[in-house]
Amino acid sequence: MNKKIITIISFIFLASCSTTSTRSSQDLALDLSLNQVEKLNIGNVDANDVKKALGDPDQVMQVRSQSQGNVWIYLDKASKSPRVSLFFDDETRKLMSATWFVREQDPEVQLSSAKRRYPHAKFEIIKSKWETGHSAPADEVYYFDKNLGLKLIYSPVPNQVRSIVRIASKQGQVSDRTVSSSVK
Amino acid sequence: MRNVVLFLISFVIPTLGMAAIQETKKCPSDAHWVRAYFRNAYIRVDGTKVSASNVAAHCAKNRKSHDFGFPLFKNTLPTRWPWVGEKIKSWTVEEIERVLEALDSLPKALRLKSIKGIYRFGRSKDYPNPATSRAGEIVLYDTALDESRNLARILSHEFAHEIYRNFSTKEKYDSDLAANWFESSDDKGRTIRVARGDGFVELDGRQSSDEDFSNNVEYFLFEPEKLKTATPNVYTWIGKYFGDTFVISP
Repeated sequence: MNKKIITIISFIFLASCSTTSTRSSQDLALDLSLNQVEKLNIGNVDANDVKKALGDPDQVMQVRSQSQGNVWIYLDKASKSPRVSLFFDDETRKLMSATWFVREQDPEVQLSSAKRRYPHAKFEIIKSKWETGHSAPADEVYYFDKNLGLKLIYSPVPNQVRSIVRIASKQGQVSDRTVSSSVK
Repeated sequence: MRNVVLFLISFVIPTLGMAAIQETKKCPSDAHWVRAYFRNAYIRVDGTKVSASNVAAHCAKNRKSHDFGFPLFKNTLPTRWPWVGEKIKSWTVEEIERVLEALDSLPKALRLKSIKGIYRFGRSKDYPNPATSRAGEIVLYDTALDESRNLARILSHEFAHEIYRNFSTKEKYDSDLAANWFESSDDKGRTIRVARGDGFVELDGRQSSDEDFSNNVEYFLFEPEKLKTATPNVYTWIGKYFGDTFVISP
């Protein structure tokens, strides 16, 4: 409530932004899949490569905070809400992360299903911390495998995986992931 | 001397105790006993100034939020409270009555079952911050009960934080989208939250989608025109999400 309080949540950087809508309505008809996103060679591909793979983004935003770059947003066809966000570093111009927003109808919304998708992952479990601010953020648990460049963001309430984050893996390409054959 | 003690134990103390019990039992089932107290001046949610006075002990008719609110008053520390420098206080009769009155004015949608306790602290580490919350727990500081503060408004803001924490994935995405909040991750997998450029009813709304949401709910209830002007999209979304009954009832 104190308007002078600066709420800074651990590991969360806030950014001023300018947004541009770039995607045509025809493009919106093409829904993206997690498989498509995970084929992106994070750390090595640039904006042109991503456009070839996924098409134009629906929104582009500039991020001016501790991490500087551009965020591309691709919307879900039905809900028009974000499905994927991509972060391009200003300096290298390379794609540095891909965040997949899990929907309630996705199998990955269940933590067990999301973990099954990555049978070779060795997750470090990190609980979110309340460090500043007058209101604690929602409890979140991060399942992080730095070697695979994989992070599952899980909310105990309402017991859902909110998003799947891919960054450049230490072992090489993100697409090195082995997908369990039982999970599509 | 021994006889005096025996007399006290046998007759006087039990009689006094019985009298106290009987006194509380005088209240009908839809009322509760309120001990005499000194009430400080304050301003009601509708702007009415209530002057300071001595309030005699009486049976107070249970408010509509009584069943929800009364069990919430805690004189202990909340669980896992991280701010060790903050000191707890005990609720007074006056304060309990004021909080119940404030709860009465809030829409039913804010009386969340997930709230398990309202705690009373002295001074916030972020003084003059009036309230702090974490999942299921709200702390009110001295400043929340200042004469000039709108307690219902403070509570509505904290309840809104709880709603945001309880949002399903879909609700969170919908709310964030209406308010033009976007999420991404940097090269280390840390979350980046990207806010809209302008249209904040309070400046601290820029700091997080959670704080922005709570400000917006607070303004929807108490200063709707300001919210409508600042961010009409959010005004419409809150109206649709909570429905027509989401209003203050003075």
